[in-house]
Amino acid sequence: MALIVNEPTAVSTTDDDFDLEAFIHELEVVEEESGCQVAGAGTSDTSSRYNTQQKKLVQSYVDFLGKCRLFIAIG
Amino acid sequence: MVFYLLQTNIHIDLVDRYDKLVELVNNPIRSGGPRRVAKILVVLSGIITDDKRHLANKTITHWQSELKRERPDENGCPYFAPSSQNQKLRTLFSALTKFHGWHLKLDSLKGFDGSLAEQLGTLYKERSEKYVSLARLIMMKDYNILYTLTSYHRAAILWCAKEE
Repeated sequence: MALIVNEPTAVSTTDDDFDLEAFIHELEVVEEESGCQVAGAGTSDTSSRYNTQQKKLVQSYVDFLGKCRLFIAIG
Repeated sequence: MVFYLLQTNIHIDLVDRYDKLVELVNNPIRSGGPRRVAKILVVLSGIITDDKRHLANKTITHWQSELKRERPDENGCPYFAPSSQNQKLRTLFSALTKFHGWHLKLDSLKGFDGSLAEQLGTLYKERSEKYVSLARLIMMKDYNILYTLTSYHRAAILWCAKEE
């Protein structure tokens, strides 16, 4: 039970009929067929630097999802 | 117990789904970012579709609703103030746009049922009611709280202000 304490709660994110697996598969197909599309979406502003606060927030977002991954190993 | 198991199953399902989004993949964006990035940063980049909007809304809302300070503030509130949290969101989207090729903006995640903006609005209201006194909010000139009050309370505040 103690493990549950740290679990992120699934507030307001209840699933509807959205199929993530199918969605990711579809994206992979699109990426393979036209890989340049995603690459081309980047900014041409190479002078801007990825600052610490930005990195920290992007990392926090990804880490949060990663933390969810950890719990399946426990559960 | 049934409830507990049900919750656990729901959660494991959620975990299983997120698991696929944090695998490291090559970063297709060549603008000084890391060479390998979490898959979600790549799959949500590029042209906006309803599916991307849906997934971004879901994951960012989930993350934002759990985001807490390192230590609770003087009122015992473990959450960031709405202004700080909104600033973090703007910074996040700025980075995602500049360095990860996202076309989705904060504005993409509002104006529909269950949107990030709607859900954060509800959370902010609940947190304010729980952790911040009305007097403090008025002192800080955070008049948004007035929208959450009943007309009776608003009238009472106006009456007090006139009396002063």
